[in-house]
Amino acid sequence: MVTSDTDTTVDAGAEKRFFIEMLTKDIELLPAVVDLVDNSVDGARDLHPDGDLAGQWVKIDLSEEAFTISDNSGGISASIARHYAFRFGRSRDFAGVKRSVGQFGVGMKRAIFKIGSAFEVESAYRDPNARGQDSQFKLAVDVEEWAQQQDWTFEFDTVQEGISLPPDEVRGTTIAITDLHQSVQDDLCDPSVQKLLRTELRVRHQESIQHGLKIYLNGGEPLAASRPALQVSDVVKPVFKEFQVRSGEGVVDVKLYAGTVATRREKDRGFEDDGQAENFQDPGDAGWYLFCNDRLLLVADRSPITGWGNPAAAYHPQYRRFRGFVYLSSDDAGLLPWNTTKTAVDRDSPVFRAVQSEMKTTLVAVQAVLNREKQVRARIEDEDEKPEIVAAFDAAPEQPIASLAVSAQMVAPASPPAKPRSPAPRIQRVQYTVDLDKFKEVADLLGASSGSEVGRLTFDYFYDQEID
Amino acid sequence: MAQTYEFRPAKAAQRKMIVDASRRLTQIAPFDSYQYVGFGGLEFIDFVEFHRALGIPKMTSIERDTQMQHRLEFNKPYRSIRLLMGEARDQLPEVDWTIPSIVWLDYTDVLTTGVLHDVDFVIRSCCPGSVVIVTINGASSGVRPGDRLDNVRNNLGDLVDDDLSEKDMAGWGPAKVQRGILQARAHTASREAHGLPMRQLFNFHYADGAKMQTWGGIVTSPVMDRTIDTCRFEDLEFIRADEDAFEISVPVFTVREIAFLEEGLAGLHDGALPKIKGVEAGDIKAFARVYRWRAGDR
Repeated sequence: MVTSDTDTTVDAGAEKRFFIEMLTKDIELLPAVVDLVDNSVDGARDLHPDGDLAGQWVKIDLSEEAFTISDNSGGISASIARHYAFRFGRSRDFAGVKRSVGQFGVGMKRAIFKIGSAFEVESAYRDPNARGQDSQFKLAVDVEEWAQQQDWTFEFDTVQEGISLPPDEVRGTTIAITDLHQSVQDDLCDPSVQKLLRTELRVRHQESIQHGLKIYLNGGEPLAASRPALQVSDVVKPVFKEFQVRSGEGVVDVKLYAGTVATRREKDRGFEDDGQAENFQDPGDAGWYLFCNDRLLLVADRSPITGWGNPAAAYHPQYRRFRGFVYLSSDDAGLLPWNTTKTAVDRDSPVFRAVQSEMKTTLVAVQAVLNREKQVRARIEDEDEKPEIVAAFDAAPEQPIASLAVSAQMVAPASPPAKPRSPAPRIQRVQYTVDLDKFKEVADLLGASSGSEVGRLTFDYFYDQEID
Repeated sequence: MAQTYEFRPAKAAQRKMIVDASRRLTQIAPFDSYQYVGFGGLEFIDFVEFHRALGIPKMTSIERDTQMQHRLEFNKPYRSIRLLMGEARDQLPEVDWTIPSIVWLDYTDVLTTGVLHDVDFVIRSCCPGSVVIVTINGASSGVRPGDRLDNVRNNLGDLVDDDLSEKDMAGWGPAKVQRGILQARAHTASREAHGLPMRQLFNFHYADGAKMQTWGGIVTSPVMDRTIDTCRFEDLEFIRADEDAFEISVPVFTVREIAFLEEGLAGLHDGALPKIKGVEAGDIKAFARVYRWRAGDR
């Protein structure tokens, strides 16, 4: 059918429902919370280009009624809020934050929609460059009501611009999400989920915490970070490579550390690796850790993506002491190989491919040292002095990776030569049946009493006469 | 030593061909900056060949049989050879991969995932301009037709194409499958580590008893690729960039026959091969392909 209509436009507009519902399907609750923390961390880092985050804090409070996150990370200016912060997707003319974690311009909105159906954002911003250009605003949104509206706008409840904030006023942002989704409410009040969130925040933001950022979860003490360390001594040197990967116009700086940690528990020593799979101990923290702009992306990874199984050996408890730490950093967060939820690496990223290749060969090299050490350890007999390679690993202390010197290879003492095997006796058993009368005659002549004795004496006789 | 050549004439010819091709690496770097990495065994034949022909001073031999260390130390022909004792996968990381290398992983067994892991590691680790060569059993010797596909699948699992059938397993069939898998792995490893797929140079089939195959190539990169073009490897008739193998067979002739044939073969222009009454033309043709690289005084 052919019709003629003067209107040639086709509606390809977005539906708000899509943003509210679909975006939130792609992210789980904990990564959504971590995403909100990312924003605070980015702000804190932007305030301190030197990387020293002392004095900066992020507070998260969970209750049945509300999820609240507040920070002193500098706040959002009314102008940024008006034009960029609440838009879906990163606008091209938004300069962004150098070395940032946030990148796509969806994290905050997605996280809010994931958690509840009403939210309030309060922010106080002090312009570092110009007096009297500070601003503060408050904005409350009922998501359901907003979804009904035609316009893609929020309304400030209050906004003040061109003011001077008192010097002691905290410059920062508070986001309070209320009307929590039922499942979120259940999860956030579940102590085990809270524990997971605590771990997730400690692990994901360990670099920022180490640089002085204090993250509080439901008050109390700030979260402590674990400090990556590897075994180092005069004769044991872990791998530490520094290199750059170019991608288009930009550069990604890479620091790669890999080596071993000390055996943690006494019972690990001499633990028999070979045997039933159910006897294997699996220390959850062996593997690769990959950071992008200091945000941890891969945690204790032991999958093929970091070389396990190909070309390195697949994970086995004999590699429980392996640790690898890779730090990718770039002024342009878009060059870093993360997916939009920052929960996995983007395997197609050429930057990641180049880094992955280094991780793979490094893993093989560290595994090789662990294999050698294990083989030598297995040969030790009780009275033997400990071979150098075993003694070296038993004695090498762990040191923070920041103190390591560059070493392109994993260095460890050589394995001692294997002791020659004592030759096993080579024997052949001979067995045959003979006529009984003839046997008795031969036995009498030889003075032998048993069949085996007759056999051995007749064999010796033949050997003496015919071969010797 | 000469006896060993005589017993395995095709292997000896192959070794000389690889050395011949390696001469062209001077376009990339002088030989005194290259190293040779191989599995020497008690006789270190390839080490002698590479040192005499190319003058490569720095050599590393990886030796699996740790019981033999004293004999190996005694037998190594040059003091500069460094012995690394143990399994290849544990010793390869000990090699200094910052200098260009000629690496010959000369296995006697068939292709396995373990071999692929070694190859993958070497290709990723070595610098562009390095040559990586792998010799493996062609996977059909001693395996009955009918069992060959299962055998290959047992060794390599999912890496073997689903659409293969036992019909594809005749003769050098399993070797072709192995080459395809090696090539694919090398391609990926090189592309990930160096930015370009590896360039295949060698695809030999030969049988001094068991059917054996040798595959190899040169690691390249966007920066190195033009220089490798200038080496003109393809001018050598045994260079193979694809799955069609160069089959090495060294027919047995008398000294007198060899002298006669070589006289006629050198500088042959009209394409007409010399003839000897009572000798198969096919043998003469095979001889013509390999005579320059066969072992022997003449």
